[in-house]
Amino acid sequence: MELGNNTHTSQEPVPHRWQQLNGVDFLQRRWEGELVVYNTGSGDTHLLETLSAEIFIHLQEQPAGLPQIVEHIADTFLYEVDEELKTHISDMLVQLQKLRLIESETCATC
Amino acid sequence: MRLADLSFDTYQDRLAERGVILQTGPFSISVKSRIPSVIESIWALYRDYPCLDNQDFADFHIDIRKPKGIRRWFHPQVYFYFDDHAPFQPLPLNDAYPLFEWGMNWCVANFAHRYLMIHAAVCERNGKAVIMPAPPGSGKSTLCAALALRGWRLLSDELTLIDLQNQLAVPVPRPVSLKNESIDVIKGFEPSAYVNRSFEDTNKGTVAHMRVSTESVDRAMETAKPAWVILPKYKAGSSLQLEKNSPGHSFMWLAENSFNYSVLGKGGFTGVAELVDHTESYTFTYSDLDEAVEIFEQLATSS
Repeated sequence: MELGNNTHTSQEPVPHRWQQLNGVDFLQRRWEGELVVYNTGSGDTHLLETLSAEIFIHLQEQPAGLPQIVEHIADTFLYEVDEELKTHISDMLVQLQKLRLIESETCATC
Repeated sequence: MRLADLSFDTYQDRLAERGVILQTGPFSISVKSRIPSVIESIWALYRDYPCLDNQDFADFHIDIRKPKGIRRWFHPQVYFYFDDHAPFQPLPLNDAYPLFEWGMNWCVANFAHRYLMIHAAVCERNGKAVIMPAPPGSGKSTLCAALALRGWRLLSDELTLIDLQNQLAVPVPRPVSLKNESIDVIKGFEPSAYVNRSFEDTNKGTVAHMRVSTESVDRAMETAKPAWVILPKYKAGSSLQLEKNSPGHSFMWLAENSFNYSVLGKGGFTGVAELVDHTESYTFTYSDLDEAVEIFEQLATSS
C-alpha cells in the first residue's frame, strides 16, 4: 500500500472535511445570532445558538476542515485560537452531525 | 339569532332531536344531547352565541349521549360522538359537559389545518393580541379569565388559530375552562363573573367553565394582530417578573405548543417564523392576579 503522500500517521485522528448534509433541503431563520433550522426531510426543527449557528452557516457556504472552521470562528468572534476553542468547536461539529445537519468525509489534505 | 332567543323548551327539544347549531368564530357546531348537565350548561354558557337554523351547514356534528345497555344504569357513562363515531373511550356520566368542551377542542385541533394551531390562550386589547402558550398548571386559563374580566377580548383560552394568509389571530371564543383552585380564585377576583357549576373528580380534577363576555361573542369574526407571545408561570409567593425571550426560544415554544406544526411542514415553519418576526416574547412569572393584569395593561398601553 502506498502511504508516501499521506501526511498523517496511523496514531493521529483522521482529518475530516465537514459540510451541510447532502440531499436535504433546510429552511432557516436567523435572529440576533440564533438560527432556527427546519429539516424538510425529517421534519425536525433545531435551535442553534450563536456559535453553532455560525459554524452551520459557514459550512453551507463551503465545506471545510476543522482548522479552517476554527480560523473562521476566531476571526468572526475575535477569539484566540487555542486548544480549548478547537476542542469546543470539534464537539459542536459532532453535535451538529448528530442532529443530521452536517456530515463529514475523511480528507487527507485537511 | 342568539341561543337565548329560543325558549328553553324549544332549545331542549332541538338539542334532543335535530341538534342545535352554534357558531363560534369560523366554526359551526351541531350538538345533540339529552343529558341534563349538558342541556343546562350549554344553555347557561352559550346563551349569547349565534344559533343557526337547522337547515344550515355545520362543520362538526357532535352527540353527547349515554351508551345503551346495562351501563345506562350501572356506573353510568357518557360517549362523545363525532359524525356518529366515538373517537374516545366513554367517561363517567358526571363528565358529560366537560367531555363536550374537550371534544370541541379535539374537533378543531384535528380538522382546522388551514390555520396554524397553537395550544395557547389568546386575548386582545386595542387591536393587539397576546398569545399565551403554556403547559397545564401554568395558570394560563386563570390569567386569561382574569384578563377577560378586565376588558380584554377573549379569542380563546385554549386554541390560538393563526391565519397563514395574513398572520392574524382568528377568534374561537368559548367558555373558559377553570380547574381546581382557579375556580375559587376567579370567583374571588370578580364576584360578578358567571362560573357554571363545578364537575368534580374528572380526569383533570374539578372543572368549571366561565361564561365569556357578550362582546367577545359578538366580535368573534374580528381577527386581531398578534403583538406579544407571553409564557405565563404561576408561582405562589413570587414577585412579578417579565423577562424578554429571544426570538429563537420563542419560535421553539410556539412550535412545541403547536398542534399542527409538523402537519403543515414548510408552511408551519414559515408561519411560526413570521409570527416571531411580528411579536415580542416574554416569560411572565406571577402570583397575584391583580398585579398580573396591571402589567398586561401597561404592556397594552405602552406599545
